[in-house]
Amino acid sequence: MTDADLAAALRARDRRAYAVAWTELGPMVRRLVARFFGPGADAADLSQEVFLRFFRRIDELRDPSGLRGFLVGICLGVARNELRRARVRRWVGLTSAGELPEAPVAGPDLEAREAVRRFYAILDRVSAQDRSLFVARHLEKIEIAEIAVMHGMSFGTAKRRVARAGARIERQIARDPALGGYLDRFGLGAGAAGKAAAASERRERKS
Amino acid sequence: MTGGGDENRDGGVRGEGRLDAAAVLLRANEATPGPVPLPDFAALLARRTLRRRLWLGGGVAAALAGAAVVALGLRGDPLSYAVVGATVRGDAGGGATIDGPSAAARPPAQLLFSEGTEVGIETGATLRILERTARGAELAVVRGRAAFNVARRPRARWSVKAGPFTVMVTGTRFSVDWSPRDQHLVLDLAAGGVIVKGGAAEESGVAVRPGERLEAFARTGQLTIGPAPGAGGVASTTAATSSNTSANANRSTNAPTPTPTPTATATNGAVEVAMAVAPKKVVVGPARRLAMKAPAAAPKLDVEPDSDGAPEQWMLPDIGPVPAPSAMETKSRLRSPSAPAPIISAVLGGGGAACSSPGAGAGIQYRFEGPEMGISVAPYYMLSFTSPRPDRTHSWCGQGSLRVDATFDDVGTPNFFGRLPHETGQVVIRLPRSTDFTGRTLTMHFFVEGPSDLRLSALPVVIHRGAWVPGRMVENVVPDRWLTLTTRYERENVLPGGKTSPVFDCNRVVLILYNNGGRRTWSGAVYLDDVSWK
Repeated sequence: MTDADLAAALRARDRRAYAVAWTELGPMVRRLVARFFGPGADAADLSQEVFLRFFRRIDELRDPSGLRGFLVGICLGVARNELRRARVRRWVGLTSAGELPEAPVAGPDLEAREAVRRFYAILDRVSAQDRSLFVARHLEKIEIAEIAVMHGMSFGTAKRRVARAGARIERQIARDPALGGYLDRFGLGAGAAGKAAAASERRERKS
Repeated sequence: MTGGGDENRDGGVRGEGRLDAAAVLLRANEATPGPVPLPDFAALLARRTLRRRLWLGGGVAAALAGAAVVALGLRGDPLSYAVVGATVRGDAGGGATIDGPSAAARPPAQLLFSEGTEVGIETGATLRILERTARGAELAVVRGRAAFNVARRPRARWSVKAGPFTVMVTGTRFSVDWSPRDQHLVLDLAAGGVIVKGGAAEESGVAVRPGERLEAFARTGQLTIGPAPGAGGVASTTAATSSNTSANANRSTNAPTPTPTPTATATNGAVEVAMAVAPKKVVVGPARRLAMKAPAAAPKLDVEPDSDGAPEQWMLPDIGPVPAPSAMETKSRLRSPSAPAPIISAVLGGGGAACSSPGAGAGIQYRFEGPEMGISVAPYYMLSFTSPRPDRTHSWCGQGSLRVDATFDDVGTPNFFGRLPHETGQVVIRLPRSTDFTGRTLTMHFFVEGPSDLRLSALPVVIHRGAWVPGRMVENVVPDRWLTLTTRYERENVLPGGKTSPVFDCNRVVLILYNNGGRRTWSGAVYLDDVSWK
């Protein structure tokens, strides 16, 4: 079933299409949610919320071939809202400790786990929109034009804000010498692998 | 200036490189999302639409919602509700009573709460709203049957009273049928979890899983759990206990001495039923005994332990190179064929009261509360487990456990054991020093996170001078609950092929999981906690 077929079935409120969408697109949404929030995110619950909004707003989709981008846009919107709500909850002291619980991080490499933890701590300090832009641009490798649509911005604005978000995160990284040093070393080692992975992702996205 | 410009430019390049490096780092270390069951989107969308109409459309719902605003307090606005197909007697602000339809042909009356919870009140039934808060409500089934679909929300707190029983809910689907004449409760659980608590141990209980029915008689104290009508599966073969206990409980308890204090504890995503009657006789396994020691006023329990403290129904190993159990073990099984079920309850703190009792943590060699040395997964032949790491989302006791990613499938060529590479997983604990297991009972707790229909076999092993000495195999391991493995090692222990081996010089402890159920391909996680030998 192509994305256009799926979009048509969803517009027709075909219940079977819900299952197809959940099966086909669910892993992508759960991965995106997990990347947005980091380890310990309740990806399943948030994914369900994403899909509920996706199904309800399916009539807003103009180009059926852009189904995935439409879904990613909704997913980032839900994630931003959830992040803001979580911050408000922390501000008003609704959590016992006043901060999010420590979460597990994948991978057997202790140093990498610590680096991941510190990096998500940095993402916790930037705005929901900056975080969303970073995830979309650097983790999901989405083109600026698509990011602009997903975030309801013009191309130029999206480009400026992606750069600004990156600069803010860079400044935060610079304040953590241990993380900065690790990323420098990691970047050198991961350069070749990263380029290969990026090329693979680009091919996958095109296909 | 030039130098400064270069520096800035270098900094910019380095910064961009750091962002990309961070992205690669995050992608390389992200956990693989496990399978997630398909939600009932049609129902969820319908409910959401209904909620919108309730809030936007007004009508009866708006009127009652307006009435509900009266009860504003420091704890937030209490939930509002609307009633469809019935009239409300009494004060809508509290103590309201709703009667179901009098004629059987009519559809059930609907009680719709503003946060999405729905209650269907069937013919002849009467439901009372005792109290409403921002987090939920306290309801009472006066008589008859009512079906509950409680919206899952953080910090939700709902309770349903039925005679001397109290059902605490935070998000699940179930029905309660209460007969005041017979003092008989029937609870069918469609989704979520239920824990039945007994007066003998306020902190303990018996968990009910989806597809099961709980029946309780207040007069006799008899409590049974079995498959709900129309429900299949293996749920009825295993009993589970409270999130606050570690226990192996029989499915049937009797209580002649009612105690007047119903108790209940809310558990997120679960239901707990608190009994106001104390069980007289509880057949329990070893973990249950720990839990039952806590309440000082509890009646004496008639405990029927097995010979070595291990659940008896666990079956002989029946796969590949796995050795047969010792003659002693076989005899023990034959002597006690009725099986206390092994299982436990909640995800975090599954050990419950057994963990909080004095000295509970003593003598546990591996608690996984912090970094532990010597943990690995099998790197050859048995590749289903990867990425062992500390975890704080699941635990038997305390706040942490060891997590490994699990991937099982039938892909690849068999190894020289005749096994496929991803058919078996092993967690290996390398002991810091030689350990004598003679006369000791090895205990480990594990939790499998995966599709509900998978079935595994679990085997504890110690390695004595290179010889793998197996313990007691457990079959039909089901996911999403804590399970306790215990095995006692003697001076000589039977190996595959009939030879025997001592265990006085062991340097490793291993947990092996075999995927020998009908579900051949799945991925998820396995959590291991509190490994001890005493």
